[in-house]
Amino acid sequence: MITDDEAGFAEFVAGRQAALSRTAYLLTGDHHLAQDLVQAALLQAAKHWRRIHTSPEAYVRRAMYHQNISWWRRRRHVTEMSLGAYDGASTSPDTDLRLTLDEALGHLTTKQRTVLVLRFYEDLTEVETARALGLSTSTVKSTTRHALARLRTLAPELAELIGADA
Amino acid sequence: MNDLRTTFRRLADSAEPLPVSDDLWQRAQASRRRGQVLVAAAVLAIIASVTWSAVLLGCGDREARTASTDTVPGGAIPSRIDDVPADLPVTTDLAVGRSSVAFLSPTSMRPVVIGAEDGRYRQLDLPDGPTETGKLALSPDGKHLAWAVLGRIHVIDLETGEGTFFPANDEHRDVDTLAWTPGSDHLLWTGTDRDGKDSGGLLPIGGESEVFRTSALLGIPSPTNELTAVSTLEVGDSATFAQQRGKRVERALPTDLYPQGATTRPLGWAQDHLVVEQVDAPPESYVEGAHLVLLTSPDVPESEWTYRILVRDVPQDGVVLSLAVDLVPDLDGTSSQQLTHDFGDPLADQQRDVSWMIGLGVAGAIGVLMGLRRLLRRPLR
Repeated sequence: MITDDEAGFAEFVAGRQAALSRTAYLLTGDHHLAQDLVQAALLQAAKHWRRIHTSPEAYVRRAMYHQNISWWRRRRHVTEMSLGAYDGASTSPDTDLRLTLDEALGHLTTKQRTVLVLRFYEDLTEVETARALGLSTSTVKSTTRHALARLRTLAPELAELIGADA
Repeated sequence: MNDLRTTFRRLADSAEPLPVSDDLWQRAQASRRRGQVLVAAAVLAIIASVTWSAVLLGCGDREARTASTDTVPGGAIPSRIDDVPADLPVTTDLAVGRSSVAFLSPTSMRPVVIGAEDGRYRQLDLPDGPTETGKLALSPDGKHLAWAVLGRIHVIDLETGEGTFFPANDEHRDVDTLAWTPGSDHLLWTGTDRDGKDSGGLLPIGGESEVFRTSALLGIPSPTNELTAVSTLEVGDSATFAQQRGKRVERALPTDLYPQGATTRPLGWAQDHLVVEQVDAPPESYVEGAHLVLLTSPDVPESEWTYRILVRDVPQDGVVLSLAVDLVPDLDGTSSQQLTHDFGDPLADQQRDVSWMIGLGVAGAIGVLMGLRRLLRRPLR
């Protein structure tokens, strides 16, 4: 038998799954990681549903931001090899050096990427971003500035999108 | 900046809605209930420990308080392995030190490790912890613990508590088995890829990259990389090994011990030609049920074969054990050699130790609170 809480959770997941997926994809740049991120955040939400059921989305989004940064810290020194990689032919390097925004974001730190997603996709103010990530407003400002500067260096062709002096 | 916002939105729109597990709610509620039980158990433990401390202080039983001081420098396999009681405290500090055994407790459904040097049982609160038996693997040196949940693979260093996470990817959407290579520096996994096809691979966990034969994925490769010990899921009269290119070789089990046969599951290689297996024999065998054995691999002449019962008493009912096989001593050729160590009854001692620590902790906390109360009540000058 399904309880009211479970039904409420299921309704929330059904209604917000797509939006959460989009944010998770922007945060991670990888479909599998994004799936794990959404799953982990929803698991936390389900555990504390009675406490957060009045505004679950804010909780889930905050959980995703923090979880993503925490995962990155744990895996940053790890490289993975498959057994077949020893025998397989190596692929030739990509000759197209132009970076899309998606690729350029992949060269930022997770913290920089998360701040940009919150500021320019979620449309949060600097104060709201700082509150969501547990940072100071000045850290959010400087992280945004550094992230945009790095994007400009990595992909000059994106300068038009990013702006010259942000 | 508006262009950047638009580009972000376009990028986000390219992401399709990601699937969410159907049992998410049930898993979350089970986890929440476990947390509530732990809190209740902690409160009861505090009450019990204060009472117990008072009793011990009153009767002056010093022997009970100094029990469980037996340690083995370098570590050893315990002579018996028990399931843990449901009320054994759960530790979130994963730097528990080198361990000899790991398994998923059928009582608490939590991972348990046994200290290599002190024989202490520790129930771990692993992040994204394993829920299925057999997906928990202790490295042969007992210093790392790996586990898998769906396609996600985690490894922690038991000496520092630091973790490494391998997210699910196209190659491992689901992981079925995890096995360490004999040097403790590579983890072999098998599972299914994003299309549901069989897959397998190698994860380097520190150390130099090394080449393994594909047949290594069938089980646990030997230190010489010539043979792979393979599980036999059906009751039979032999343990199975795979040579290069997967050709199977059988190694007969002693018929006097198992007249009706047994199943075998390799746990690791103690030496180049000695493998530790978890054997499960049907009722009316000379050695019934699950137990651990040490046996010679079939690439050695039969006249030199050895078959030793390593640990007779282990949890039953399909509990899959993982063992730090490097702790098995080199054989000296005598049948009287002790291969394991009797740590006494660490579970009983631990519960006594824990009650003492909690008692002292409560007394300390009361002391601090009373001190603060005194300070706050002091009039301001």
